[in-house]
Amino acid sequence: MFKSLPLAVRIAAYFLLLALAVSIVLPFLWMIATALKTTAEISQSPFSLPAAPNFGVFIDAWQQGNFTRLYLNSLGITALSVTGLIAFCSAAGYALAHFQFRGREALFLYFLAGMMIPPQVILVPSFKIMATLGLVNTYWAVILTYFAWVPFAIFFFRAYFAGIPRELAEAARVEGVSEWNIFTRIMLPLAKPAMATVGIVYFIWIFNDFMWPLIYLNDQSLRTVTLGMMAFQGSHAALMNLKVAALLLATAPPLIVFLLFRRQIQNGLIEGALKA
Amino acid sequence: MTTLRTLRALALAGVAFAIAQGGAMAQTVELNLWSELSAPPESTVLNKAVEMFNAANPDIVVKHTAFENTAYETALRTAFAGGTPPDIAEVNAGSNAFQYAQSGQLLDLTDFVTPIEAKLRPGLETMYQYDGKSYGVLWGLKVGNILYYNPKMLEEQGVDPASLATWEGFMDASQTFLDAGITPIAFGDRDQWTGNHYFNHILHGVLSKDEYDRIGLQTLDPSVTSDIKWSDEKPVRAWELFKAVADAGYFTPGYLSDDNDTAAGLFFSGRAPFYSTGSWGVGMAKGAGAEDVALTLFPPVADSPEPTAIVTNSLLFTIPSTTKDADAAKRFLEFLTSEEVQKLYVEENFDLSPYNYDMSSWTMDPMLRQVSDLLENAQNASPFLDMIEDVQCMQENVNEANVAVLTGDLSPQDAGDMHQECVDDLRASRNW
Amino acid sequence: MRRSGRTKFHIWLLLPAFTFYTVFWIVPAVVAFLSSFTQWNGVSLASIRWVGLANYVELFDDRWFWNALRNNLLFVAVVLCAIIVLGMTYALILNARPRGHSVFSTIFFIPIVLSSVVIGLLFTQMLSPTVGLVGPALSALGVPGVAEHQWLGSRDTALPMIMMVYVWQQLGFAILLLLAGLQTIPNDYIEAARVDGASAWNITRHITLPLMRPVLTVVIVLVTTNAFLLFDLVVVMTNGGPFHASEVLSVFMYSEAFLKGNPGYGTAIAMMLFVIVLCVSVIQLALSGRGQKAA
Repeated sequence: MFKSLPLAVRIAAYFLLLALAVSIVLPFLWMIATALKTTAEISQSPFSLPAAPNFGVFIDAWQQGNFTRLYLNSLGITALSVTGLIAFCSAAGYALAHFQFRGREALFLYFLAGMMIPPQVILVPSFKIMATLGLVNTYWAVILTYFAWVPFAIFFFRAYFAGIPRELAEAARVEGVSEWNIFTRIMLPLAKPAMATVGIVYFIWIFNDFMWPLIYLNDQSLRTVTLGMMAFQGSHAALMNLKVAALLLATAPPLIVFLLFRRQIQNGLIEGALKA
Repeated sequence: MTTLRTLRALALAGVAFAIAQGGAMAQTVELNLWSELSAPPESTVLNKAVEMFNAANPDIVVKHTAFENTAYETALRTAFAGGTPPDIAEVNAGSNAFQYAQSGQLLDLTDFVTPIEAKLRPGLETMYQYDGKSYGVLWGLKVGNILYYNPKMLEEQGVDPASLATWEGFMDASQTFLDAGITPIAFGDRDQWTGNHYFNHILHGVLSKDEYDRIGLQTLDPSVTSDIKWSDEKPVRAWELFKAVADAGYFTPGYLSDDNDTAAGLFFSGRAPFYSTGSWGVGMAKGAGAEDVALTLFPPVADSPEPTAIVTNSLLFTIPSTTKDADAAKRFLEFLTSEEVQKLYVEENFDLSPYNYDMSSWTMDPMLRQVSDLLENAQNASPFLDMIEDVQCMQENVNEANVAVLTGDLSPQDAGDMHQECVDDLRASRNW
Repeated sequence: MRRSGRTKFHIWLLLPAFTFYTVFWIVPAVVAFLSSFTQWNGVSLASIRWVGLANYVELFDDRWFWNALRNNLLFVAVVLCAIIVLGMTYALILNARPRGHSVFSTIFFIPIVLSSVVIGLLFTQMLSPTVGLVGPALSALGVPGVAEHQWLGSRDTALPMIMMVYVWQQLGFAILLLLAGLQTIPNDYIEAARVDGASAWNITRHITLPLMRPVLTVVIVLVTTNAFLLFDLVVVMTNGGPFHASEVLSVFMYSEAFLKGNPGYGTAIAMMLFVIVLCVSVIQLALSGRGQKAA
């Protein structure tokens, strides 16, 4: 189909594709090159390749930024939050898609309304609730907050379960299978692809989140990667190569997850947005 | 059977543990201490001090929770508002502490602080006294009005560091660099407080201590009035001098978009000869591994009434009125002011002490010694402007206005007029 | 018996999500709404005063509110147009399956997985005339006058730069959705039109675009909602400066509530933002619904 287009259009199309691709790849190359240079090299020749690439800079940044701790915190918080969200929201999505009850549509809209509330608005009241519960400066403060990030997941699971014929569950009911078993033995296995998508998308969101860890996780030993990386930027003012190395270390996990699960994320997001 | 036995053993162990805990609880009081000292070296020093105190006082356990700097204000405010503040709270001295004192949330420590005052350096009381009462003890002392320079670059351009004694000399030196193709002053005002400090120090040089303290405190203290208005010649002159630096092209090209760290980086990597920040710059220089760094007092104008005066900043340890045990908390506060702890603080922290201990035998970085000498020889000391002016007027008319003056959105006179209007409105709205 | 058992079961399914969402998202939002009718110093609840609509009335007299609103609307309008036009262009190109199209679509999607904070820091560094990439590049190209330009520190370019970075960040997502929409259009339609001698442009104009309407609506609503709530990127890149030049509503709210110590006023701003986003979304959905019926 592309080949049938006039040559001029094809050239223009390639020009556009390359321009955008370069604008995305170039900053990464710049970051990698900068990290591998000495500070003197960075200021004297910002474009050149590093004369003697210093890969040790990543180890330095890792150690000085205490990235082992940061990664453990971030991955632990993210894993727990994502698992909880998948469990609660698959259940809620299933209920909204397959059960008839009064107020079903209203409840669905209630769940969606949260998407329009700017998170900065609820900063102070949320903090107060967590403080009352005595959870500030614990992992639970952020995990419980992430548990409230249900709108997109419910939206997505509801659309997915709506695509599964109800006859399946009805047949099982006739056989005398309990509701719990219908949900866990029949529905959840069928929803595995949806769970994978929701899991990956939320992994990226939660891993990258900055605001909630900033206000809840003050103790240095609790910090997440994004938070630790910000603190690192401030305390290594003159060491551009270290700063950029830390930036790269913080972007690595979401990028790796994306490259590994590219198809699933893309298909998942498309389904989620298009089933509206 | 074995399972049952194991369970019983576990249960017994649990009971024993609970009893032991209960017994211990009866004798000791646990005090929660909150601070924003979350990054080394400051956090290390405070944690050490806490350990030392706990070891020496078996009946008290101080538990330190360190908050990340930007979040601390939110956390502490919310805790106070929710009625659940810690037993001991570190706050920024000055206006920040006063807002808690004003609403009756801090214990009046006047009687407890009076004997400690005997060893305090003179002129620092403004930082913790509000309405004649004292609300805490100072920990650490930072000097704000310092100019850092690169002696090697000065030598190359034939600039004598002694010429930096006055503002006019500093400007001439800057011109020399500019003529040689080097942008002289590393500066980044993205976060506004850096410009606030510049204006602060210029203004401080233009005014006497009394004038400076009053023009700020009039927004915090009903009994203080100021003869000088913000719209008067002297404050407007400070704005003009500040603007002139930008207009002359002395600030590094990213001065409105870079943050302070980027500016510091330019100076420490030898790309600009001048950079102004407080005494904490000594620690920053060490962290950056910069060698060609020297310092002098931030140059006051040639006709400054008190050319050697100092601008200072300190942290205040306070006791919220809901504290579990005020006496135990006071014992900890007193411990913080002891020579032992202050020595530890100064030696490990690139910082000074607000107390008059003999520091000659302490191990100190030579540059820090120099700051200490500036302090010893100072005519007087005042807090930063943002510590003695209400945030309602300070944020808009100094933090935001300093950027507006640099961009030309506000003329120096406009900035002064707006500021005075805010002060008048504020005092009127509070019936002062 | 089973019937009643079944009616109860959905409650158990909904309960966990409902509880967490209500306690940790909706309750704080309601509290925020109520506090927009109060004035207090944020420190002592004893200082709290019920002031009715005073905060909202004050907003209308506040030139910085109008400034932030104007910036916000300008931002949304520009960013929306750019994302739709560019997104559609790239989706059409990729849909024609040029060589390497899957590599390109993977690369285009990368920015969406990076956090706004990282992206903000990266571009702040690159755009800085002192430590950046853009300044030296311009002076190497022989335009040294522009090389010292403060892209993020100048009134004229600060907001446009944030717009550019935002489009860079969000474009991949739009391309992806629009491409998916294009792929759902049956090939027969297009083939039939081509046999009838329709030009490529006419096919796009009269067949593709009308069929893309539902997808376009989704993209428009998503982009608009997200763009209105813009916060991280501005805070990291300019902090709303220089002197309010790039201040949008969420940043203005943050500075009033947290920096100037007026939490009541701050939440009033936030409520205005919520109402605006809600109205715009409803209008967009209504317009697209009517369009669909007409078609």
